[in-house]
Amino acid sequence: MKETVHFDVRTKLFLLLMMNILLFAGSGIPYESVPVGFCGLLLALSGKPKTALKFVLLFAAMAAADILISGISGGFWISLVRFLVVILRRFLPVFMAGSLVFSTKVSEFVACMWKLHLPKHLIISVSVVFRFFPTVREEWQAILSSMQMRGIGVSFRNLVLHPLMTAEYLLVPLLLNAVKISEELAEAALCRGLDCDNQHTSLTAVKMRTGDLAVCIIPLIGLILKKAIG
Amino acid sequence: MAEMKHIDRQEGKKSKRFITAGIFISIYFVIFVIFGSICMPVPVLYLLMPVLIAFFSAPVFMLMVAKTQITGPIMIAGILPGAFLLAMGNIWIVIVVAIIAAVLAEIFAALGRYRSWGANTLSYLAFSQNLLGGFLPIWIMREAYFKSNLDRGMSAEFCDRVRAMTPGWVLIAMIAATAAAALLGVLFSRKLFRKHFEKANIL
Repeated sequence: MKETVHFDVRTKLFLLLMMNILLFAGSGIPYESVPVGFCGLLLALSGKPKTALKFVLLFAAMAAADILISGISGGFWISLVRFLVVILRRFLPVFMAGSLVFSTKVSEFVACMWKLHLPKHLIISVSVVFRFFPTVREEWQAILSSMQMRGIGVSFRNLVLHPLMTAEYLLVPLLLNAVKISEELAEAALCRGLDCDNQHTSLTAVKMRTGDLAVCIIPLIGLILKKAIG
Repeated sequence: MAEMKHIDRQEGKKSKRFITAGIFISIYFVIFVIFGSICMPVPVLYLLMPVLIAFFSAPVFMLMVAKTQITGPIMIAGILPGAFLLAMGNIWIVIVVAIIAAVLAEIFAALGRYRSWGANTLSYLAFSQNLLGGFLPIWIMREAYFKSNLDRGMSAEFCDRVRAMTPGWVLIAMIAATAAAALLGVLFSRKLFRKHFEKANIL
């Protein structure tokens, strides 16, 4: 699905922060439906209408369950279910803002970190972390299949009966490979000027636009209104 | 001029160490995500999550410190899972706890100049508490919910029963169990170091 409006990473992070604050600012179904609706709209705008719909339906179901259960009086377990439903429901806007953050591409995130003038070494480490995940998965698969060939495969039985041995067989090759790869990767990255002190260029443009401004201001206004009206 | 070249080379080495750190943090992160996705859905396992992670990521942490011996990677490694949990929808406490644990860990390791097993062990004990913030809401959110619902006609008896299900000592037991698992993990990684890494000559 194509995204209609592109939101900056910083906007998404700010939204996450605001949702955290709004979580503690009030409760009740009418109050909670506002941030859920707002985040749903943003998710739909940034090309994830299905996710948005899922969250809104979940909220509706939880609200309905809450109302239905509160009609029934008594019973400890019924109260416990209601307690869990209400707590999860209150967290929904935060989950929604979180899934908006996770829709960001790694390259955009890294470009944003340079833009924010974070310490160079922090950015180097963090971008290696993100880029290395696929490699870890490959290594992991290779180790698993070679263990399988030697008849010491990772099974539930082996994990329970010999947890230490299994961990050793998995971790040692993984770590030894990591040391080797880290040396190669470091050479390659340094050759490409990763630690160059000049400004880094990026194909991804990181810019705040009008939409970002709106997304930052609307929750703030909401919070102020909530505080004013009570 | 000669002086400057020297500094540049130092810088290059530093960047290299941070790249190495990134790779180990990545492995730590994968362990964290694997155990997280196994433990999250099951209530009792959920509370065991930091304990299991503390044990199994000890070799990764120890090797990272041994290979980098520099200020920074421990903090990044400790804070990143907190930031991840925050973005996943945990409340802000998670990152505050992660920062405290990570900074303490960095200080302990720095006291031994990243070379002493004792200091690094102490550092890992602090480090492994970095996920604790994810569990504090069980206690904090509960009280907030009770407060807002007591005046709406919720029975005080219900509150007491829920409190009894997750007593405060569970939290202390979790901290202790995580520290114990971290200690065992360090012993385990020491064995791995002796048996494999020192022989492979990678230290």
